[in-house]
Amino acid sequence: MSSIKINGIVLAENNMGDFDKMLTLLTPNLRKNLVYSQGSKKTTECSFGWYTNVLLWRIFTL
Amino acid sequence: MAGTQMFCFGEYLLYKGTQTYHINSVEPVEFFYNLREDLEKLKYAVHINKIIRDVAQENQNSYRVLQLVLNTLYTISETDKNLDMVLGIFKLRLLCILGYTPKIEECVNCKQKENLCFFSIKDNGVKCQTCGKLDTSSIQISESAWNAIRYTVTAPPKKLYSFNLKEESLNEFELVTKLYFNNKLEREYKLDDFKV
Repeated sequence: MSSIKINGIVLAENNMGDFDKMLTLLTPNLRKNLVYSQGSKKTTECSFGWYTNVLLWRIFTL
Repeated sequence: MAGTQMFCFGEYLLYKGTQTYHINSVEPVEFFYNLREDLEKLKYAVHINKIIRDVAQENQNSYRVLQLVLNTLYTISETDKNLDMVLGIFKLRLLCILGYTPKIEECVNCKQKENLCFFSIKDNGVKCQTCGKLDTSSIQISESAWNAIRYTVTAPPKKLYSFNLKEESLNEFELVTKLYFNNKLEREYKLDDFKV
């Protein structure tokens, strides 16, 4: 799974479900992508849950 | 997460999903925090945001647009410059990036280089006194407004906002940029229209 590191500014945020957000980013090359951010609405208390979520993703896809 | 809030500029680590990208981590660089403290500043920032969302398209190189947006937001957020002027400069510069650069060195009709005191919306450039009077879409501008337009078109990106205008020429500059912008993008952008 390849990941990209890119600079960008958030143009819009839309809530998706209880914990997720759909972002619109303005970036130098991938102009205006829709970016799905998992668990970005969770509060700090729950953030551990979000990290495990990402970790699971990694395990599944690797 | 703070890095996913509006107007946050940061370094994003993305991986590609089936339809969208997924964010793995964010390292925020600039929040433009002052925008959140001042409603007037926020109004202009949102207006700029709306324009950009219409103008930008997916998967094309937009480095210069991003640079312009960041410079503009920084100027709005950190300095006390006249916000109408900032918006005017932003609009004109954005049109230049999009390929609608006005011809400003000579009259578009007769190539004369002196007495340039009209800006023609229809013919995308300045006109001399005689040609300007014949064109109904042209607006009379003073010399300082013409200088401001010329500077906006030619200035390097980092020094774009380093000039000031007096009130009279500022009004002319605003009017020209507003009409030119609405004419070229074929849509009327109103500052007080908050519908997204």
